[in-house]
Amino acid sequence: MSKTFTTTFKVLIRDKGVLLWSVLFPLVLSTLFYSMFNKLDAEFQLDPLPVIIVADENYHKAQSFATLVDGLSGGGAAAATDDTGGGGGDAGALLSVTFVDTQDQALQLMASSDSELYYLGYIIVDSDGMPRYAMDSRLASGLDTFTTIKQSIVLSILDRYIQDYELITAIAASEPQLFADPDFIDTLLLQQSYTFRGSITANPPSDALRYYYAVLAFTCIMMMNFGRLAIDNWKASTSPLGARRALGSYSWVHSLAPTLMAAWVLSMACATIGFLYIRFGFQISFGGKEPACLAVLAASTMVSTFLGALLGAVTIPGGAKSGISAFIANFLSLFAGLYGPASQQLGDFIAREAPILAAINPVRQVSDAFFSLYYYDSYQRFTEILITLGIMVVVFFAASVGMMRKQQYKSL
Amino acid sequence: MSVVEVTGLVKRYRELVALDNFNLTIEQGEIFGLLGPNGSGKTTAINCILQLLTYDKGEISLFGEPMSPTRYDLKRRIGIVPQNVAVFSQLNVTENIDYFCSLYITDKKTRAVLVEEAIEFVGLQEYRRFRPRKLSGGLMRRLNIACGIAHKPELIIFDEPTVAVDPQSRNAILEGIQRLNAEGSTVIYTSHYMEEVEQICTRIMIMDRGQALATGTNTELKSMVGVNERIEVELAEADEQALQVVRNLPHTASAVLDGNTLRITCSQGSHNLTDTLSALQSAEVAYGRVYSEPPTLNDVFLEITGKELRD
Ligand SMILES: Nc1ncnc2c1ncn2[C@@H]1O[C@H](COP(=O)(O)OP(=O)(O)O)[C@@H](O)[C@H]1O
Ligand SMILES: [Mg+2]
Repeated sequence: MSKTFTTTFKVLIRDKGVLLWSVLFPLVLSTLFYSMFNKLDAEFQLDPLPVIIVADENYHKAQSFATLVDGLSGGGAAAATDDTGGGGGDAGALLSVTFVDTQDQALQLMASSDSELYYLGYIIVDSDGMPRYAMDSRLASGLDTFTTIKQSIVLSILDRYIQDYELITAIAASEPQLFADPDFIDTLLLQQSYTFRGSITANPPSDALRYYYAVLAFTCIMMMNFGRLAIDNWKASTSPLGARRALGSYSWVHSLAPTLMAAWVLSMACATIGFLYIRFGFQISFGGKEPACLAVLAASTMVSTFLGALLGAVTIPGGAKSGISAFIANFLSLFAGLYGPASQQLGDFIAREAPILAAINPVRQVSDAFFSLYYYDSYQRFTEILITLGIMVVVFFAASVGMMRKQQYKSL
Repeated sequence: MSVVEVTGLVKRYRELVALDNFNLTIEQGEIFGLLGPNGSGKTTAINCILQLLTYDKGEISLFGEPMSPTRYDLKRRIGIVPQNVAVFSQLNVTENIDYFCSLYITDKKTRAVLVEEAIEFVGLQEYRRFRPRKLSGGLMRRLNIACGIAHKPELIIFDEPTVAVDPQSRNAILEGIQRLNAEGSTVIYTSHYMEEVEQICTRIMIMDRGQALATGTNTELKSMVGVNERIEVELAEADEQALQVVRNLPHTASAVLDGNTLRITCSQGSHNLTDTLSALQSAEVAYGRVYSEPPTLNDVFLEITGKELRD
């Protein structure tokens, strides 16, 4: 058993081609992304987002929103009523707010910043006290990545505010007596400021993360090559080697188990190298949940090992299989957004419209897992994904082992 | 007790009948030769015996016990040197032998000794750290053999071990097989080279189209068919008288005159050449060069199937 394990490990680790794809390629790819993004991120962090706020009657009535805006613009928003072109943001402020009195003025102001697109849009509070965001119409066409992220931040701030606001008004409508309890109000306020900090400041949204997470997820799926090769060398019907091994004086389970085990351990090791490189080489954040990340890697490399084993078990020419595995890995990574904004939008679209397709895509699941670890304090989504990956392990395990068991003595 | 006992084996690959009611008995201590042209079913027979293939009919027992895919105790006693070299290209010579030995021997120390013996046996001492791709064809074959014999099996199966091997390595391999046999192993040796089979096998089965055509020792097989030596004598001139003289000899099966060359096929017997030449001398026939060719298994094969064994 242990000899089979060490031998399989040696054989796989000495396979230059596979090792190249499993270790070197992810490192190169993430380095490439790093050189692309570190400049981008720095730029992005420096500038507060320039927005116009229509400070009309509705705005002044929506006291809580005004307070939020004040907070986000570094406390100086109230004083910055003069049109200084957005220079009034403190260091650490998220928004650089320019106040105007009417919607028309907002539109004029946007139009006046003609040559260079400056304002992201304007925010106006409607008669219900709800803030609405309207982007500069010129932004609608040809959004670049920076602008998309900036916009999404503004939107997410407003969304959070509206959610909290609706929650509170809903409680006030159904359980008004709760507001008589000062403790409840404290909790509510605490909650609000906590989630607000958690989502905006602690782990700032970063477009680059998507790429790193996708690279890692891609790395994990590429590990299926180890499982495939291990089985190619094991199956009696695919290789003289396999036939020879089938003549050993130990049962096929005794030789299969350590073979797959070796493939998985090596996959896990390679994926961990990629993870450590991205995490510590580039200081990419995983929300401070590294152990959970390792659990994701363990589960997903296990999925890959058994998916590879299944590919090894099916009866098609060995040469075709490496092509097939490369195709599978690249195809699935498309929906995890590895190939840029278009691929990200496609992936998100499918996740929204056909969540089942996203659920059965291990690459998407893995990158989602990293995302959820980064953005959410709760481990709920993470747990769901681990369970999903666990189901994939069981399915691929049953399919591949079942197939191999059936073939074991059937054909040469 | 027979080491191998196969009765009524039938193996089909879809329509093709690869083994047709095949029977085989091999006794302990034999070097048993399976001789047949490519595609005659030798490898198929071996793979059925080893349970690598399912078969349609028939019984197979090894060491007196029915063989099945899960008879790991019987597998322990068998060594296989497959037709296609089966070693890990990523492992060096020692690692390869050690791994295949580990399929039978768990203890590391015991294995270390056995691996060393196997390396010496096939003469790969200078290549211990070589990966297969750096070995020549002949050395690769030797590694293939070492991987099959390291665990000192009682029955060793060699499936065409000398294909694409230089003459020197070939002789080393054949000699090695005889040594293994002398040390007590029973050997099955398949080949389509009749010379090799004649050289080392104690008993031979001639196969064609999945059927056993004849089984026996080298001499027995040759005596089964009515041919023996072939003699060619170059005469000074075409001489009808000489032809008559030769035809009248008792051991002459047939004789023809082909230009100046007299071609004679002999029936059984010894001293055929000297008898022929002395008869020609007495008749005062002048002759030049003389060729004599002993009978071969090819003659036997030709006699039974009507075609040449050589491909
Ligand atoms: N896997 C297979 N599928 C179909 N036909 C096969 C297969 N293996 C061998 N054969 C056929 O069975 C016959 C016997 O082959 P084989 O046992 O390899 O002969 P040998 O070893 O004597 O050269 C040949 O006609 C060969 O084409
Ligand atoms: Mg063969």
